[in-house]
Amino acid sequence: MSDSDTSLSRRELLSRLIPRPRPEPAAPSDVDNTERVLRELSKPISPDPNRRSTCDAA
Amino acid sequence: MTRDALAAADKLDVEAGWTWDKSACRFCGVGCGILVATKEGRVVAVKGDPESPVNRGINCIKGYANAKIQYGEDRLTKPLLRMKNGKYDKNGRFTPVSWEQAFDVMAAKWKQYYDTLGPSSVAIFGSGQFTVDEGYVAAKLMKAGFRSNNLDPNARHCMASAVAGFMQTFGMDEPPGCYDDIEHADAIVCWGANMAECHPVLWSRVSDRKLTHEKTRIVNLTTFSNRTSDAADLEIVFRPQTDLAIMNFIARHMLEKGRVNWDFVNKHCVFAAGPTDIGYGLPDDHPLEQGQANRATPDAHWTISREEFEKSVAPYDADYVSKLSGVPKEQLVELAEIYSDPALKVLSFWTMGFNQHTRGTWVNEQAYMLHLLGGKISTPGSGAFSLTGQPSACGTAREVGVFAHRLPADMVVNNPKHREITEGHWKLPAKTLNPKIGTHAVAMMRQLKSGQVRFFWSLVTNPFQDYPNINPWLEAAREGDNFIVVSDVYPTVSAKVADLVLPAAMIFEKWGAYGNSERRGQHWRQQVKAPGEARADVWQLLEFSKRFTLAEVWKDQPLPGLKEAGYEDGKLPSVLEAALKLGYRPDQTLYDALFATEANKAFAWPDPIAEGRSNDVAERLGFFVHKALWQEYRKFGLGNGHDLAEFDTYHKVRGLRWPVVNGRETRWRYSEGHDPYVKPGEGFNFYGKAAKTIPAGGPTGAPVDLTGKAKIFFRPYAPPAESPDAEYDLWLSTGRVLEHWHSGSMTKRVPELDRAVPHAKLYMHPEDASARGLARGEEALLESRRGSVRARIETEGRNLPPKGLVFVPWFDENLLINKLTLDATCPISKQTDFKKCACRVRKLPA
Repeated sequence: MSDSDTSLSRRELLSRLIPRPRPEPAAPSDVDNTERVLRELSKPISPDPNRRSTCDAA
Repeated sequence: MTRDALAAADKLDVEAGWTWDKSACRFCGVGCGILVATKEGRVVAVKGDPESPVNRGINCIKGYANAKIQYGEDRLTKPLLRMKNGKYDKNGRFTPVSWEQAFDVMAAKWKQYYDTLGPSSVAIFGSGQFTVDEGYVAAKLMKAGFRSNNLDPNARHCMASAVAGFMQTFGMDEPPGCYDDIEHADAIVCWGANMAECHPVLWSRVSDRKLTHEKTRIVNLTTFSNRTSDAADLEIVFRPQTDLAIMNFIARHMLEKGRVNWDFVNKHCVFAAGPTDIGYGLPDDHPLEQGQANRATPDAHWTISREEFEKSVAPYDADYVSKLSGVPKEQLVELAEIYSDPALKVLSFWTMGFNQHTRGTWVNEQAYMLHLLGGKISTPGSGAFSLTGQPSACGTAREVGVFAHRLPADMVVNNPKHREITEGHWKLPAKTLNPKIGTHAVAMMRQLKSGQVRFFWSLVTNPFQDYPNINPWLEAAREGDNFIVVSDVYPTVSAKVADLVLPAAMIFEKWGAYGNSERRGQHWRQQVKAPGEARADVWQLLEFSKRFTLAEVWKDQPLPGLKEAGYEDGKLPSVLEAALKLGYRPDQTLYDALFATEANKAFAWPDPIAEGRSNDVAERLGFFVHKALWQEYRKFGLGNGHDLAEFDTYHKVRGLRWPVVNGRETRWRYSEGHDPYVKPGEGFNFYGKAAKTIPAGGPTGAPVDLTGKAKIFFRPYAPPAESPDAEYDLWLSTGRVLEHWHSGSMTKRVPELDRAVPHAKLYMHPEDASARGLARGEEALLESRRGSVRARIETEGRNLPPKGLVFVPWFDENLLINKLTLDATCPISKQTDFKKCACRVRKLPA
């Protein structure tokens, strides 16, 4: 493939093969997510079936 | 389609108002360049950077998720402190507080322990995901400020064995070669590196080489079949730990067939060996540590003769190694012939299969042994290359000196000359730096459990999911008299056991720099603001430093174990008087003394290199922190083989591989014509300076100077710390999958990645499953001597273990596989072996 004004370089061709980017969702800065975070933090750590530990409930 | 037509097609409405800028991928150590699009304060898209020499426009599935990792719904946006009745309480509930309140409590707790127990009572656990400036500030704050070497990164779990191997062999860290070797190689050999899943973009370059040069051969050495096997010409499945023996077989084969490049070896190498009774990095009272006479000096080594080397590898014949490893003899010979053929350019890659190994340093050194014997190193297409797993394990953790024993530019704390050089660069009073090596990662957790470490601050990592054998550490965090701080971006397992959670800014919300596996430094600019109250880690460290005066930290400090360094035992002496003579004041804060110096404040903000972009840290602190710190840091490397370019240069290019001399990067180190440090006529010069004076002929021999030489080590086979037995009859190996990265804290927040692989699975051989009355898809109980988990069985798909071995990825916080792993380490590198322990699988109790 030539790299003339009317055709693509290999590098350009690669860039065209990249999926077209899509807009992303809004950042959480738009909303107060404190309750959501606290809920996540209060979830117990994945338990050990053979072990009873105080750390299993954070 | 013509260029004009494509240009027109590009101008779609969806991109209206987008601003693109270059950046780096947040994930693995490959260091792909990406382009980031922003609009109205949001990252709206990412794509591979066609200008990047690393990835040439492509990304892997995780790379494309770089934007979405920032926008999980449970992003941490406020400091959260455990409180009861309006005050901090270890048994309290997380409560939002201001940064001021957070730092007040944090500084008070630090002083509570530090003032009475000294520098060894506090610890910072950092990261190979630290940007360069974050790592530099952490290192300077701890080592120059608090005079504590209790700073270690998660990179200890990742590539410490590679570091030790480089230092002992070449006297200098990091790979001689670079990724360009791929396009020159005739054979590419993966040892314990599932590149297809763990380094996918680099694997695409390997695949491209194979597809466009049909004579190129790929070999996959592994303990189970995986996706890297799919493209391999030769797959070699060996029993865990027997890579040590396979390496020695290859060396023996080269000697036997007369294929050693003696001209190269005689000019540029020496043979070396070390003690073998060095233990397994387990606690002192562990049965495996008893009678290990050299466990205190595992890194000792000395020169041996060529004859001694030949005699040492002689027992590793095909019969013995085949029986030990389970590899057919013809496969061993086929592999050995690849390394032996003088006409072949051979490139060896490895990752965690080597590094996470109770003899990790040894097996790294054995890889160099093969390449040095053949003279296949430091030239295009021939190299031995340790791939890293984190974006700046090299650029930050290793080069900046975030390890408990290191200072910038390969210097170490227990070398008086290195301390003197560092004190000079940092303008410190003599003897400020602590000469005692600090607490490495695994020991840090053990000391948290024993109460020696009382304050533990984790940044940019998730230690309570990442560490081996986590049950005791989880308990220590919640039940001990200690204070745990976690700076992170999401509520991880570590955040759950913390006392204080600090919300951090993510990659595109701050300025930064990473250094990838091939010594390439890459910088980026801040693109958007962090959400809520989230702040960059460097700001957190700098703000914390404002809470301490020199009088509080540069006084006499209690510290045991200093006698060997020539100090009065039990005391790190005050340097306050010497500090006054240098112009410091006792009431000066660490921030003013170490960071906001007159020289650093001269780097004004705004700066033209920003091209109008913001810099929240600089705007809050009043000077261009990142540029000032980079320019200060780069002085360490100039003229000694670690040369870095000026700050602004990196913002104009797609990264540079050090040493950068006279504006030119270096692709192949130690090699004439490629490396500016090698003079004409030398051919090769292994000019690294570490461990270049060692005893000759044995441990008590006279010192010999090995300037310019590399070492060819003999390292024997040694059994693993734990092997399957009657009670626990299977090997357990852990690792990664393509879709998730490390503990999954970021990739699990990306819907597409989470849907693709929502849970970790227990990969096992179908006959092993049926022998236990289990079937694919069934949930089973997986147990070791340390812990247990429930896991769903997979007998098909991407990972196909042989009978006797199971594999479980560690990304899933709902399947904490590190409850089972063993905290045995390589005694030299202190890196954990996550690839081998004994386990059993059985039906869940009814």
